[in-house]
Amino acid sequence: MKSLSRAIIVLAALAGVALALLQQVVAVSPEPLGGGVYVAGEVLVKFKPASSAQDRIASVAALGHVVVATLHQPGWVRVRIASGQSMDQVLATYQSDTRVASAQPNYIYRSAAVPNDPLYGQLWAFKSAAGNDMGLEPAWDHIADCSSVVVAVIDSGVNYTHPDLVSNMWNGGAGFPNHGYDYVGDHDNDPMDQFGHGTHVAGVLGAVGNNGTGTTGVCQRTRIMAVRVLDDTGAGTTVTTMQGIGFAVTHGARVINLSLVSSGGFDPALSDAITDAQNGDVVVIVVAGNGNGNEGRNIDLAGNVTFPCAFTQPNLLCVTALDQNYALAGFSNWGPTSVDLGAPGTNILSTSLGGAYDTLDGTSVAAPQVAGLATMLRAFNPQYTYADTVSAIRNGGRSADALAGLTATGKAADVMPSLAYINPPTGLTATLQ
Amino acid sequence: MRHSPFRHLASLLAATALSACGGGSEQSAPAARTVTLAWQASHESGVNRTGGGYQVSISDQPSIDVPYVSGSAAPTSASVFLQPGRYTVSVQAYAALDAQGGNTGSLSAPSQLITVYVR
Repeated sequence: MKSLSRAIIVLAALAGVALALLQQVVAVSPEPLGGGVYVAGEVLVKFKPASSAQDRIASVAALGHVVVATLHQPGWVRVRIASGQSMDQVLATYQSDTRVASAQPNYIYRSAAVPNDPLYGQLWAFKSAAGNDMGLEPAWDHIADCSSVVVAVIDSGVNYTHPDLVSNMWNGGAGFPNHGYDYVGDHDNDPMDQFGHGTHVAGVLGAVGNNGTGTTGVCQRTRIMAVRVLDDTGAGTTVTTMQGIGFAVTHGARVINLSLVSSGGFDPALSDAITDAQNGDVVVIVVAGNGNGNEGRNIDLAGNVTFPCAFTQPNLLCVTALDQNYALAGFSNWGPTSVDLGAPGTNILSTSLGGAYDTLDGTSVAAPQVAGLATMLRAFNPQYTYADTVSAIRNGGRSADALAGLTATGKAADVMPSLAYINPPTGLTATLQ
Repeated sequence: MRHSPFRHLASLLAATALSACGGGSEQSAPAARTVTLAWQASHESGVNRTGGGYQVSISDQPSIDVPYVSGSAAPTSASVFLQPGRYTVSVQAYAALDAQGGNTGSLSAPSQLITVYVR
């Protein structure tokens, strides 16, 4: 009995030494997770069962890394990597090691329901006491990260250094280090906003959420492509807008927000650009526009028609603005044929040029609510086509008395029913055996 | 993604033609036949994961459940043994997620109806 106890003690001691060796435990003080999708400076590595503890230590140490902890699941260790090393490079190195079964980032998971952004309580469009909102909170329990989908803000550019946008900007690689392109100023790859409109739009659809800063967008994580087609007075042309759409389609955007309007008459060139987006399976969200002063008007009537809202491509959704009572905003244009649905568009708080936040009214800030929803739907359903996306938004909307007869659907955008919406199956055939 | 009416007609004719094969000089009572129904895969993620699938409705017959089992997608076909007659068939997709964010489930609208003649 005594010898058995001694053996157990010896074994336990040996196990402790082995564990300490394997872990090389270092004191790691908890650090804020930040706004990224994985923990910076860490990877998780799974070693093959045949590898010894010494093999594992050698593999990690050879790269100048440290094992922070062994994990419960066999073979997995948490590794602190050397500063300055890129995640992609480190993962590739581990994956090429014959002793390693797999390697990955230490992804960040968050309780999604209510983000911790301090200005969240002012975002009535997402959650309001009266229930006049798009119902984001239950949807965020299912998807808050839309970063698998690129959404293009074709506008006055985007302040891509804004602290609540910077980590949600599209990675354009070496060719587009500033997350997009400028078709107005220098015609270069710097789409910095000089007007503020595009920055506000970007924040509505995709300000970084749950990062303890400012506001959140409809998508808490996404990839915003900034395409500058409006100048520092907020004006652009058919050409700049066409170029912007072309850039977005060519570089992988799945959703485009176009919060711009012209009443200059049918624009076949811009129509062709929208058709190109359709052929590229891209959803385009556009605006009904604002009437003069506080007087919205019926844009289906001759003389009032605005574009791109009046285009009829099936990949296009035109949005009008609702106020906090879910009444049609006084300034907002409508049209029972050309305007599809409504979304919150008054007193909308979002990101501003100077790195802070401000509120805006307009169909311009209603459209990105729907663009955010389209982005979310395509992230949630990776196989969605533009037709599926448009169908889910139109059919998932909730009836709004104020929009009956004034829009094609009579509905307001509603996130959760759109996420839960299922398009009817197609292509049913029968074959007798 | 809309059905062509010709596609509908083609499936009808195929079913009718197939049912007319195998005749002899003496008329015997028509026999029941196996009918295979197939449709396009849903693009909804919820249909193609646990809790999702399809429900096939055939007139005067119990509905057929075609649940997701494993892999990347729910099955997109079902076979049924039918007595001679005229049947209308549709299929609906379902998923676990509901419009409030819970798991009571959602059901799509029916697909376009087709008519199947078993002779």
